Amino acid sequence: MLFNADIPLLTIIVFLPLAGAASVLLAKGRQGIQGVALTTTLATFALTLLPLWQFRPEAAGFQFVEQAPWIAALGISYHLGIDGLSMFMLPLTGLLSIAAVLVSWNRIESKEKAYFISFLVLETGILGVFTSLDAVLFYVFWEAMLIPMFLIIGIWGSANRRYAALKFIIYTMAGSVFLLIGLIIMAFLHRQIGGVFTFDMVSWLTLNVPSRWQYGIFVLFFAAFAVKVPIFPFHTWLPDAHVEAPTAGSVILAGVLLKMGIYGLLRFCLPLLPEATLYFTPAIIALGVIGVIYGAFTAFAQDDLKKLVAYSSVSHMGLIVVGVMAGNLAGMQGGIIQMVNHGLSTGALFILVGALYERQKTRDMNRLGGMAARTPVLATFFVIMTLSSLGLPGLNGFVGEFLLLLGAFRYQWWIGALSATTLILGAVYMLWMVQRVFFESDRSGRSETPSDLSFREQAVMIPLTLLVFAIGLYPAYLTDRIATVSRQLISAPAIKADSPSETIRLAAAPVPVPIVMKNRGGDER
Amino acid sequence: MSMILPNVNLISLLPELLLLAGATVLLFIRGAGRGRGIFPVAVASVVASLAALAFFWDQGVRGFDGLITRDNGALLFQMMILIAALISFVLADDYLPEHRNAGEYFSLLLFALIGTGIMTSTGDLLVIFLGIEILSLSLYVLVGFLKDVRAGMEGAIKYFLLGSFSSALFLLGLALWYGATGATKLAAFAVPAAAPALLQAGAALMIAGLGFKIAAAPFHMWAPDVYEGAPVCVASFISVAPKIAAFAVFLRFASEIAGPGREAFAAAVIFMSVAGMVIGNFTALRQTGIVRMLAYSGIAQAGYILIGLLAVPEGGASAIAFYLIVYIFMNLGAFASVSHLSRRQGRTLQIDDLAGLAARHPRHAFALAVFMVSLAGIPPTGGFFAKFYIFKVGIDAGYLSVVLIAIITTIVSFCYYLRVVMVMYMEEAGEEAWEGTLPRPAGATLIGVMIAAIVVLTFLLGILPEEFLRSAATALPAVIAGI
Repeated sequence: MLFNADIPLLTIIVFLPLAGAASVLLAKGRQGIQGVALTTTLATFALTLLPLWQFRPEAAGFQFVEQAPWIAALGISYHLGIDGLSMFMLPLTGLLSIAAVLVSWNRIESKEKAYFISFLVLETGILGVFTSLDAVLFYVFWEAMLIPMFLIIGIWGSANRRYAALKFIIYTMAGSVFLLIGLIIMAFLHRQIGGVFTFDMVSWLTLNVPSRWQYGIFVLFFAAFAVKVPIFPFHTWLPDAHVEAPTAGSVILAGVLLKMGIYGLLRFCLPLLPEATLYFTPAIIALGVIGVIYGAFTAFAQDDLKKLVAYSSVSHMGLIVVGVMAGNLAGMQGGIIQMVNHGLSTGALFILVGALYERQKTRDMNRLGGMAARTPVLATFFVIMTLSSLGLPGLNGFVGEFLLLLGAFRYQWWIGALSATTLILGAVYMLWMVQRVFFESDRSGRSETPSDLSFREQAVMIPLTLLVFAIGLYPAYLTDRIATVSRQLISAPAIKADSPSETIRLAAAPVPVPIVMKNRGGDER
Repeated sequence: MSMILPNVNLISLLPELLLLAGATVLLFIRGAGRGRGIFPVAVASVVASLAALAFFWDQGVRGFDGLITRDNGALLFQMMILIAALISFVLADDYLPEHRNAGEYFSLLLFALIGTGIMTSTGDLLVIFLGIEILSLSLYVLVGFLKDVRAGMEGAIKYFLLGSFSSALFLLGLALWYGATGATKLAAFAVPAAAPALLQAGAALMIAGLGFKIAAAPFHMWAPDVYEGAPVCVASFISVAPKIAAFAVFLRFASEIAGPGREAFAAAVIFMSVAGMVIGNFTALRQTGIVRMLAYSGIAQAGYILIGLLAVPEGGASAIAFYLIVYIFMNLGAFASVSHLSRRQGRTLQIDDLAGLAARHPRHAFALAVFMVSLAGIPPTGGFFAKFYIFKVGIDAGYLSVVLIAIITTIVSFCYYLRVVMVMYMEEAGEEAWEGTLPRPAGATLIGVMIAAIVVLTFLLGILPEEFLRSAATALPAVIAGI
């Protein structure tokens, strides 16, 4: 490794927040607790930046790999590593965790200690999910992370929080247990074919899963990831969870947690089960397109700001699903980039909605209005993030959406056309929201002038805004680093599967179809 | 059997003799009137018995011409039971301080342990029956230990009637078995019998009798009433110790059975397992009393563990042992918390009574939450790897559909386990419910330290299960070989 191999960098990154949580337990007083939490998240973020400039974009496979035996009796190892797919998710998690701590600063009235501990444990869980290369380790982080999120929504959320928390955890856990069965079956297949009972994902990559198993396993995996993304019609937990969660909870939920669903699809389904992936692609793309349009129309109908942003997430995540499943380089790159972009802009929007709520005590757009004149700074940030979210050229959202739509058009022109409605519909509901909240006349009936963004809130927003511009103006930094992994991901189905009907589709992709490999497909001996 | 007992080797019963000595001494201490040394004597005899078991580890011991055969598997199961007993002693000490019959209480518990010790360490059906009866008779009395509690008496009568009935079933099965094979040895399973129908009927009746002891559906009807009626410290013991002993017997059944009986056995186990998971989990959803909820959860957990029996001899035994190790800690931990909370209550503790517990007793609430999360099988707790291992061996043995049912019922179980967490952390307390029911936390109490230790162990089993898994895996093949 380029990084000094003696230092287990990823382990430190993953478990630093957990150590921070332990220190929070010992901290005294509100300032002490918050101070420890902030220091931990800052340090973690700094560490997540290190892999960025030591990462070798051209190298295939995983980097910064650490491996040690964990539960040898069951073929489980402690195996960490990152590739182009996961590397940007780490700093995104780090950054949004800082934001989560800062927006909660002095805002938590009860049980602050438990609150910050939950967030730090949550951060460890998320970072663990993105770095695990062992399926059981992945699953442990994947599930362990749900409990703190459950507590965050259920304890510190708003009025209907208990219902939302239970719905969130039951939905996501229900999906996850199917994933577990799928993982166990994969390990058995590996023993059958490869000779070793192992949960090591890197070994799994070399496995040609027999086609009679692929479809069943795919369905088991898909259940977990579809709920998490969420893909229509598994999305119904999302608006509830978002509306009831505290601001910081929404930020992490929208910013990072949803990405784990896409991440899982790309990490497990595409490379491991190429044949089933090809088989199910049309259905998944159809669900994605439905999600795009349904999410947009539902967002359009909302009066609650948080609900609107939540449904816009459903729409945007649907577009990402369409792009990554389209099977071409543009769509895949767009999807991976959009994972980062959506995290930044939606996270930021939730922070701003939270700030608005604190000032006006309502999220109902019918009772807001005219905020631009009174809180110009807030309004400026809000408009920038809205424009980023709807894909204005020059901002980050444009890069992702453009590539995604390009990918969708290359798949089928009419799929692209349907997906492109996101641009129009997104502009409609987003801009209408801005109009209703920041312009028009004040409907709040409150006489006092709300204060503008505080220094603390600006400190959160400025880096996010800078990133929005930076990615929008220089996306090559991202695309270069994810090119290798994107090529691998789209070529996996092409190499391993043996489905003649797909040749036409793949010919449109910028990668040459590896016809030589055709004879490798088919069933195992 | 001949009149001259050859090769008695009393040493093989040393662990039980130590328990017997303790039980006898306890009765005398009670007679002396003071009740001072009751708890230490009880603990000392269990610890001595544990030490004796540890002494036999890896060398094994046989006695009574092979009627008592202690291999590592038998030793492991009895050690687990003794550890569970120690935990329940601490509970009893907290729940029944200065009870005037405490001597009898601990004495009866020790007798029950003698019963489990015999059950786990023999391959002879008649001796197994002897063990079951020693265990059951002690437990019948313990359930009704608090004479002035009506529900307790009701539970005791119910337990006694149904328990005797199940013992009778076992005995009838044993008689048929003897008729078919001419021997009381379990090993006779392997030889082709003259009358296979008789053999199968005998096996079925014995399985039903044992199913009662582990509260496997459809023989679970007694469990909720008995758990609720019995003192919580007794309920905690009943929820664990007889289960472990009965599973030890089940494992011997599973590893010995062959031929056409094999399929019948597998069918019976699948039926009990699926019924337990479905009935247990769905009924637990509707419970309001926390002990009743734990009772149905126990029925469901027995269903999960039964999956392991299908995978004998391919690792099912060690999966069961590991599950039971985890189950001791998480289930007794949950019972310990509940028992500590409910000891000053005049009535049974309802789940809603826990509202706001997190604000008043954060550590206590955290412990109970950990146990619930572990029972639900969520990482990073021991409950996760226990389920994981069971599912793994189940799939390996080719019972994917049973495992899928287990998965679906697990999702159902999240609802009621997490509901406890929700009530504790997310609801405000009704003021009057809690007045004076729990003392302010005052320093480190014995039970507090123990609960903390169990929490640590529950996490340890989830983060570093390797050691426990290895000991389970190395001990258990011996169960099969040693009969």
